[in-house]
Amino acid sequence: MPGPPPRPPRQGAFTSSAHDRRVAALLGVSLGVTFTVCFATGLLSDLIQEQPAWFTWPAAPRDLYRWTQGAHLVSGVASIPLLLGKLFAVYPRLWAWPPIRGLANALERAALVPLVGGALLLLATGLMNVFSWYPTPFVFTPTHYWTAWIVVGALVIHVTAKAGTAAAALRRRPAAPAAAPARPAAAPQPAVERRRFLGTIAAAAGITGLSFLASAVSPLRSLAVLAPRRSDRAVQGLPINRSAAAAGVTRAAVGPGFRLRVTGAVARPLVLDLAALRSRAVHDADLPIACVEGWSVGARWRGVPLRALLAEAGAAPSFTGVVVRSLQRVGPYSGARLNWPHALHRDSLLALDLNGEPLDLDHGYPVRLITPNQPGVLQTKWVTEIEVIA
Amino acid sequence: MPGAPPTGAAEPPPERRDLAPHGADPASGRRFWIGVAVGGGIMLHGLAGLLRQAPVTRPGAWAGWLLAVLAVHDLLLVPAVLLVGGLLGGALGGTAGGRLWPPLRAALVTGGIVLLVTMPALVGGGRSTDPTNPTLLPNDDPRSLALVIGSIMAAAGAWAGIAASRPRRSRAPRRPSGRDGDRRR
Repeated sequence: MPGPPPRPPRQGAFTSSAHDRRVAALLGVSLGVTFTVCFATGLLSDLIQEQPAWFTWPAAPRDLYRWTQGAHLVSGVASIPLLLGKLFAVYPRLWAWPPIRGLANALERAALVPLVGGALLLLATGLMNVFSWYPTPFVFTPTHYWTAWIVVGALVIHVTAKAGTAAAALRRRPAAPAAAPARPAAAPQPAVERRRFLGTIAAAAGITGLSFLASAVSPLRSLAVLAPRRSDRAVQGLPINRSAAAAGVTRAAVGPGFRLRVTGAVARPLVLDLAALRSRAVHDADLPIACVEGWSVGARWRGVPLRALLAEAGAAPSFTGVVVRSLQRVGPYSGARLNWPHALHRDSLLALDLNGEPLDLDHGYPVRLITPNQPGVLQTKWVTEIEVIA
Repeated sequence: MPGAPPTGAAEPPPERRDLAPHGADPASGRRFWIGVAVGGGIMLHGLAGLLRQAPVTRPGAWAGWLLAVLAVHDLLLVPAVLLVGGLLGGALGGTAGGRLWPPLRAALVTGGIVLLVTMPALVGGGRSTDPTNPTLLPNDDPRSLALVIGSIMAAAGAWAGIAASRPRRSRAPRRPSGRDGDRRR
């Protein structure tokens, strides 16, 4: 028997075909797809929330954001097994000796630190965010965003370094051995081992990805190991992202003294109490709350159309959007800017009722914003002011 | 995949020659340097953003976490998987239990990954983020996890049963097919 493995282990020490180039290439391509979906949908979500002047997010189709953010979460969760499998496949190369062969190789290997460490950090923090768990000293959203750019930059370097090798590994099946291999009769064929390894990783990716989706499908809910919210365990049929207490909103603050103001670029500023709001013509809309954390649940809303209030207040014809402000004083989402397609959409409501009942305080009583095709964080609760922006 | 512990073999057998050593990849040429320029630019954009928002992104702590997850993966997780796989595979391989190892290994890896992904729910750290929210983390996660891992184990058991009931293969040397390993079991 040979002696114990040297330290660091030599690459020849890893004999499973789970470590071969074809496996690494197939998992690399799969990760390329899932990371591209994650990056594109993540950037889109950021643009929708940041609203740069050149970007106008439409109000229709109603469920588009629900699908893009769902794709972000499912591809992110499925990336976890794919990344672990890929890193296992290339693990022997971590111990390459000599560790550096020239400038190009040094750069390519150096880029692996932000690539692999950043990818692991992205997936870990993203997963923890799904479960509202924030143990890191940095704030999740901006750090996740900028880490994604760093990882994608490192990925570009990695892909240009490895594209030729990967393409060759995918094109060409490994050659047959010249002689019958000297291995135990019970040892499986390399291709069988490859298929088993890839099959196992694919199964894990499928299970984790589908588990996340299962939380939205009633017969499968008991199998949903990744269910941060469930529509069957909710208040008024709808889960709550942030409770009134966590947002610093008390029942006293929404008592008889509550007023909704329509201000800014308007001919007739409005100040309305709850009775005045309820006396106006209402409209019903079926719209989901689609959370950035991936869960989404549909509901029936009744409220005053935002465009009716804007018309009543005489909003300037050239207005570009509105800023909706909340009583909420805690957290980054105490207000939201709505662009004009959302402000004028017939289903954009200042909602008073949810699923046939007056809003619960945790859902934004006495009045909240609900609009189609919008992240949940922009569906401002406890609305107290609408400022029209010229 | 815990199938291949480091064995210290002097040379890889011939059929392992596609396990090319690191460094054989041609990380050079015009395409690579264009990639370095473009990718480096994108990375600098990300780094600049991280530094601009330093009060919330805490770049020092961020770098510490990045290196820590890398170290945990490379120096703890993978060696542990290799060790467990080597011990179990060694104990089962080459005997009648050798046919049980592939399904058991697949079940352990799949179940282990599902357990890892479920950890934030099981730890339940999010409950302290908003303790007044009755809809946060509503799932009976241990029960769901037991159902999912039980299903994985049942599937692996079925696979093992089918494998054990098959007749043993002939050990006669096979003809080279030109497509190594493409032979189906």
